Amino acid sequence: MSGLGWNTVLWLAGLFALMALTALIGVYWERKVIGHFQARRGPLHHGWHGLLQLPADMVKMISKEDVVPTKADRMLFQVAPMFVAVPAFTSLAAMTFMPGVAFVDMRHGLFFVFAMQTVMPVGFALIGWSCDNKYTLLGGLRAAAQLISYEIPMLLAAMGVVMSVGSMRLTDIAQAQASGPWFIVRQPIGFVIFSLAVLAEINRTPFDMPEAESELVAGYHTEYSGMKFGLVQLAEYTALLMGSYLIATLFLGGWNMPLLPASPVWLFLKTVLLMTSTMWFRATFPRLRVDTLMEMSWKILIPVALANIMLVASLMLVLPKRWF
Amino acid sequence: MVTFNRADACAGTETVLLNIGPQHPSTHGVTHILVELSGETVVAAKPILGYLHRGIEKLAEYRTWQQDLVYTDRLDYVSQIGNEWAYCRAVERLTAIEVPERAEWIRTLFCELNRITSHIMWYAGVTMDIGTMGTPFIYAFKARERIYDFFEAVTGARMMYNYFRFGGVRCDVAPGLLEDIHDYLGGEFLELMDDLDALLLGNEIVQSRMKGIGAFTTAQLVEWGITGPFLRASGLAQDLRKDAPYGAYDKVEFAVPTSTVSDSFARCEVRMAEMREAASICRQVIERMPEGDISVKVPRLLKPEAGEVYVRTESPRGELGIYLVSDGGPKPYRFRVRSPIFYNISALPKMLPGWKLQDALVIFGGIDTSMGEIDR
Amino acid sequence: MTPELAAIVGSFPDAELDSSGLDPLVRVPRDSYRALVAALAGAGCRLSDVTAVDHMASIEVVVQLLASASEQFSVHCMVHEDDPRIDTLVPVFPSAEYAEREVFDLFGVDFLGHPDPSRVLLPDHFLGHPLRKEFGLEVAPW
Repeated sequence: MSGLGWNTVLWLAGLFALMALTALIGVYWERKVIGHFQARRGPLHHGWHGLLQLPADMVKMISKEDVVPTKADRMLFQVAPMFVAVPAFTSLAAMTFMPGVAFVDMRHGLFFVFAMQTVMPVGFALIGWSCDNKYTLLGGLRAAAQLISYEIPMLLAAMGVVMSVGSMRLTDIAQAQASGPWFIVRQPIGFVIFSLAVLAEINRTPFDMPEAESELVAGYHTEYSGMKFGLVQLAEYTALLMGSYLIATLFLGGWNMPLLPASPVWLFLKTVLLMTSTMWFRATFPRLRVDTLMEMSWKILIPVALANIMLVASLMLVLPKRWF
Repeated sequence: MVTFNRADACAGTETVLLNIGPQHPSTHGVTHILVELSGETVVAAKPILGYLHRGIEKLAEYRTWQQDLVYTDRLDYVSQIGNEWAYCRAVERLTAIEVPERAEWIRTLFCELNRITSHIMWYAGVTMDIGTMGTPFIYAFKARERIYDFFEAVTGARMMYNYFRFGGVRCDVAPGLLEDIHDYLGGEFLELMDDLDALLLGNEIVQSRMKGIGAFTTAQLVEWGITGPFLRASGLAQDLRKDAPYGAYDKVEFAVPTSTVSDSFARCEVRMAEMREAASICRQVIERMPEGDISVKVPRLLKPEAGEVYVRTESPRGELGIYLVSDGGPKPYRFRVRSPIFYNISALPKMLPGWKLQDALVIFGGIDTSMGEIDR
Repeated sequence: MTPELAAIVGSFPDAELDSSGLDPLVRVPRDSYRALVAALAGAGCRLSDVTAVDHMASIEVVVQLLASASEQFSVHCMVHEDDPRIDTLVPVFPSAEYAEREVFDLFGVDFLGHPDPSRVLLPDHFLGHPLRKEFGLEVAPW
């Protein structure tokens, strides 16, 4: 992937298409999945099984009036969604699909993804603050607090995998699961903590307090309309994709499948499966309480994640290299 | 019991006033609660009422006694039959009209069916309040739709039934329908209730959100004028269907579900149990429904003698009172509705302080508001 | 009405017990209104409702009380239209707060010592008290 040529342009186009399509197809898929969970059928009338709902939604989003509240901090209001969207999209660049098939096969890919995710709470807090609205303020602060609290257990849980593999390159991590068992078997505790933390990081039910409809109207993006709302939504679905991808790569073997040849198809299926299960949660679960959520992170997940690191480290000393 | 200290809760920081409603996803109808928050903790709350005030009490003074019956449907628009019955009972008591036996049983049947649909509305609201996407809501509405079909078959309407008349009911139940209702409530409905129980009471997140939340003592609730399931969840089995029986309630077997825990979760349990009890009452009523007239002849222009009457009934939300004053004319001199939710919601300023914003909405959901009756 | 409650009513010389209607009814002048209700509350009565009836020249405040779960009676107190003031029941029954606000809102009766004497159903800028008889349906004073 070196040198600026057609290859790079193609990859960039692919990256762009990926992030645009994820959100659109994500919205459609979510409406369908939740519809069926609720004994409904979801979008049905526009196109085959409501597929034309996608372009319709897109056109609606783009053509809507872009309202800026009078009392909002204009500059921040315009810029704040970027703080959420740009890191979310940029983190996609670290995705790898097969050895040698990647946008950029970074040596510290995992680190890059986490670094990008760290910027997002700033964006949420800024969005919440800039609107001069109490719902967005509460939502933004909730989002910032939640994201910061859950980054720590997420990092600590990923640390176990990194220690075991000895590399932060996502290709290496997935390849390490080609011969041995997947990390979900080797480090089940790490998997549980990581998945929970990812779910909280992407503000999905049952951790969706930042946009808690029944309390805060629409949370931090209450005041956003038109394409700015679309951008926030896009960032959220991108984060959902990235989170599912990370779980699939770190703990579910990435592109590997036992007894079958390795292929990006497996990675895709695993990611879609994980995304669908977050929609399942959304259709089923109510929301936790804010303080319960914080307590869960600081009092349970972080200590357990630390203990998990100790456990992995001691097992690495004791057990043969192939297993840890 | 939580002792709340405003100074501690605010801890020297500024508070935020937050409007919940009148346009807000979690308000049931056009409720408006002004809450003062310190961080996420509620330090003060005030319900602001009147958005749905239609002046029904005033309008009723300008219509004849019969015409006013139509207004009662529009008071608490999710428990219409209960309101009709309360008003009919008041007028019948004032004019000493005897209601035929069969009419009383039919009234009991439809009042209890209405109690089920009303509690389903509460179920839908409370599950949305704690943040589900609406899945339990839609499951519960399956039962509501079925029961509304029964109402439609008898009264011709799905919402504003206008079914009761002074001295009876408007029309008899079509043959075969009673068996349908009986079969539905004895089979499919109970299976659905198991699902609904599992979705609400069996969910661990719901339990963690509701257990211990909004725990008030019986003495507090009585002092605040709370009635209905909210009060019964604190262990006081106060139910006018038992205490001062009317209709056929003294002839059927039923229990008054109570709980001694008195938190939001107990209120859910009590309401879920009440739905099952209501279904059981309906089945007993259908099994033992007597034959006979469904109404007595009442003068078209009713002119009760001068006097006053106060009648209380057990609506799904609590003690519904109707106070009527007659001056001997064809129109009521005073038509007063003692709304149970008006009293329940007026206790919010005493209930909410000290709880987190999210808990406050759970407690509010436990009141089961219906703004049509609060604002009248 | 139980003998104990009747005795309490009897201890107020200006209170008058009327049992001719459907439910027992106690008429009491304004001066001993709150004292009587407080005495009845002390004997275990619960509040069911506070409301009023406009009789043109005077407004009758009606307090529905429950002696037990099934036994009800009411306390009536006349206030003159020109001087519509009466003691609040909130210290006796905290649940009367919003009901009294409603009576103030719709009848214009002032409750002395009420913690929050403001309108409850109608907007604060509303003129008049619609449940008074002189407030016709045709008149729209706002």
